Amino acid sequence: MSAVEEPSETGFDRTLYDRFPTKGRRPKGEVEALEEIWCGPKGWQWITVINNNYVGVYYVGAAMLFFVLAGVLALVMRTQLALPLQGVLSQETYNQVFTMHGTVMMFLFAVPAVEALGVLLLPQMLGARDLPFPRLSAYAFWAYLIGGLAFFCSIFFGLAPDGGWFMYPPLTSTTYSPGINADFWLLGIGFIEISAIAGAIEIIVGVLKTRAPGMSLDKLPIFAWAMLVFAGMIIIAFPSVILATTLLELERALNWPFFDAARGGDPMLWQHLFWFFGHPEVYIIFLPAAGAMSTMVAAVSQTKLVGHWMVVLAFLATGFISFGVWAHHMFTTGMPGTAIGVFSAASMAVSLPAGVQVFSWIATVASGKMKFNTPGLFVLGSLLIFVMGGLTGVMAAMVPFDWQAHDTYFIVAHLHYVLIGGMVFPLFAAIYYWTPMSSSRPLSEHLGRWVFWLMFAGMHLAFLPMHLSGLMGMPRRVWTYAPGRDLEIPNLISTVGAFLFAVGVLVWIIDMCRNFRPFGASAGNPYNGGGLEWLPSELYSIRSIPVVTSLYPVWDQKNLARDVVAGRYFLPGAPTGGRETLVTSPLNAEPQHLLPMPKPSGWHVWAAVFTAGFFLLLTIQAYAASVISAVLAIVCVIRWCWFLDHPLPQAKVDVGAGIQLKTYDSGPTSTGWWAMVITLVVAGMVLAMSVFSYVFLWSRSTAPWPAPVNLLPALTTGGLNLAAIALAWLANRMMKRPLLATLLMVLAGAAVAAAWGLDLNGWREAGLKASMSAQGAIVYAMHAWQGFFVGVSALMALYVVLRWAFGYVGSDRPATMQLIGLFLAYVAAQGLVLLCLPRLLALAAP
Amino acid sequence: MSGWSTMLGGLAIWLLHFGLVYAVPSLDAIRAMKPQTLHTLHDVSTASCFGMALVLVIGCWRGAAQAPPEKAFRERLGSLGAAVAAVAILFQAAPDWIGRI
Repeated sequence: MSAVEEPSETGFDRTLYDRFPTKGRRPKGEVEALEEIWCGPKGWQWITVINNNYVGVYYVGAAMLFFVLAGVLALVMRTQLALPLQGVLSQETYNQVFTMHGTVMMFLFAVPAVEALGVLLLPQMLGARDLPFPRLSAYAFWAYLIGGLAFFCSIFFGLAPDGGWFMYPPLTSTTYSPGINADFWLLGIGFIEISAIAGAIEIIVGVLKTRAPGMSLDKLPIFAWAMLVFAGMIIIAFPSVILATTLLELERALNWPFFDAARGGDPMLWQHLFWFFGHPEVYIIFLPAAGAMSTMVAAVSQTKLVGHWMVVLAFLATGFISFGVWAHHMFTTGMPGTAIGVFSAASMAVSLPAGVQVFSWIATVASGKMKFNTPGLFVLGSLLIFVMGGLTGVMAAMVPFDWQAHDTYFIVAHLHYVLIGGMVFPLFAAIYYWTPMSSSRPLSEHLGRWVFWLMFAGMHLAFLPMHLSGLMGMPRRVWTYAPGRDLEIPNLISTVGAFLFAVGVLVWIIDMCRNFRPFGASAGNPYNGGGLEWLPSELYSIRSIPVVTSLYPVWDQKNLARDVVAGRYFLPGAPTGGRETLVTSPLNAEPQHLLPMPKPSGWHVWAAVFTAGFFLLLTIQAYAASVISAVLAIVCVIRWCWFLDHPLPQAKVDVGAGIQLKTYDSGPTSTGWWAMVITLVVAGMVLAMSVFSYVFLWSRSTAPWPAPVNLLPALTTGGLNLAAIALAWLANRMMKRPLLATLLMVLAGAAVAAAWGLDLNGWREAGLKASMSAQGAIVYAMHAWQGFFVGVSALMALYVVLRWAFGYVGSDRPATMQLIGLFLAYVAAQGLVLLCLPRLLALAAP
Repeated sequence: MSGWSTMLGGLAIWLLHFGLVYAVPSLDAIRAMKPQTLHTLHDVSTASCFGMALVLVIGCWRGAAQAPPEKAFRERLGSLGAAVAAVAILFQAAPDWIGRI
């Protein structure tokens, strides 16, 4: 420990760390108790299992399944394009195939794969028994798998979307895309994004709140840093696409003209909303892979990552500035010249953090003793491919060049270089590197080299000629091309390359089938990694949670593995008799309390099934069945929540070395509070993007956008929303009087509902109709969004009443009431925004 | 919160400046404004953000020198982040300045 110390973040006495490792033998039966509590599943429990060791493997497996499926679609496309005027696919089918390839790769493979890697690796890396909300991870996984498979199957019925992976209107409006193909994309992707957001909440809270004691931010593994930034970006970016898909679906289903220029809408709004998500998406995919690369490059070079803190800064910088580059996909749309210049500058600037990472990896390789094993080869291959893709990215950031290359195969080549170099190769490196952690056998080095060289050669053969075909004028997304334009040879080479790449993937599948043996003992630490994930572990993760004093604890902390296995650190047993993990503070990871964790149950699985059912039934326009499915999903979620917020009989327990920690907490130290705040940030982002949409459409309008003129209802609406905030606050102050607290909370819910109804009525009385104009559409869309929140508030009020009826409301368990209070206050604040925005803009005619 | 503000302050200013320099020409698209007004808005935004970033650079740099390792890490991140932000702010402002020539 350093001589000069920062004051404690939480009041925890850090000299207590000196008690570890403890001396002497642990009581008999501790390990057996842990094994029994964290035992593996049997029979149906394989489905209801929530332990990250299982869910993480399922998750990675599902993501790789979608990678293979989307890859098969790519092969079909390449077969069609191998020669001019081929008839393998019809034009309509080709449109569906390229749309599904892009969509599945981006939404069902890339983001879930890196999220899955986080679920699998983070608890072990952070020294936690599991992530803080294991059922949420499992829910996210099942929702993703069921929704993803159903979405993919649409292609077998000719119902797959066919508007490209970014689904621009007006092409995707009902006029040009009748049928339900586009609806599959809009509802399916919206649903899958919910799963991604659930996973992101889990990751943020996990990284910030469940680290091993002493693992302050300077000792946080680089992969965890990357996952933290990644999850934060999902929280900020994904709401935009949720809003966009909702608006387009509303336009298609109810004829609300958000994007219909004839009625005051603007298709450009879709592009802004989509790319505000779409470009950060690239970094969302890239950052976790970069985190994995930074971890692996240190291990395969057997030296510490050069410039660790600069790489952390590069991750953070990428996270921020990636939100300033969305319009570089729109250079050809006629934006103001200065705005184009600003986006061009930002697009070039974002290459700097990427450059810092690349130079750090090169320096690490140069300063260590590089081992050219399979992960090492993939790491080096990734470096080369990603740099090539990055360079063409800087070319495309230059506006005059982009005007020439836009929508050509040059861009197809660029994006594949970036995504394969920046994500696919690091993912394969990660699979080879971390398999020994979760499998009793490592993957084959011999086959791994074949996999690498086949994929590496195939990748360049497939995509390098596309630069050329693009510059020769071949547009992307064409079903075929005419002979005699010198496009035959580059296309044929690309097709050969694609099949070579596929052979590499096939060899990897064979390797997995032969060697991957999960859920048992681990194969050890063959690459001599330095992180906590390489400590001997079982289904309960590590036996005891160490005090971390180094960024590479396995390398630097002497006898760490021995002492951890002997139970000489935190939580050597199960003091509460159930599943549990330590909750620590966000900056310096000081122990705060013990988090009791749930046992497996089926409710989250049923919730996922019925949530998927709701979206899928809605897509095929089976409205009644869809509503029933939604109600069932809500029932399952309420039943799932019913297990929460029950204090244990032991208020405090010994977590090792005589250190006593609370077994219950609420407010900002609790994980639930963090999860709720992050959820509200998601909601706030949807609101912010709605406000942007309102202002954007308003600014495009030549006619004034009036607002209801009657002052009294507006003042009443505002008053009711403010009253709701006050009532929710008061309810939390009255927890010693459960009935009063419950009544106040119910009243707060009633106030937000009344405010919403009154505001909505004002618009109806003013004669505004949703299908009449863009103003009508956006006003009612925002009120529909608020109505959804009011509905959830009503359910929460009902839940509070139920808890009161069962005697679960009281000052000994304030967490549920605090979280519902937070939610209601947010809903009221959102109601105030809805009230003020149109009225303020009505004062300033566009 | 202060730990996070230190670390992320510079980058947040960078993003804020980006939003401002994007919003200014967009304002022009909404309602035609005098070029001089737009230039003034742009320059004031740039000068303010640049100034704030510089203050953070110096503050964090000095903080890092006296801090224990955990805090020094955050201060160093904050300082370099703000320095990068300061350069980026000038870079982002350049298209408008070049456009005036």
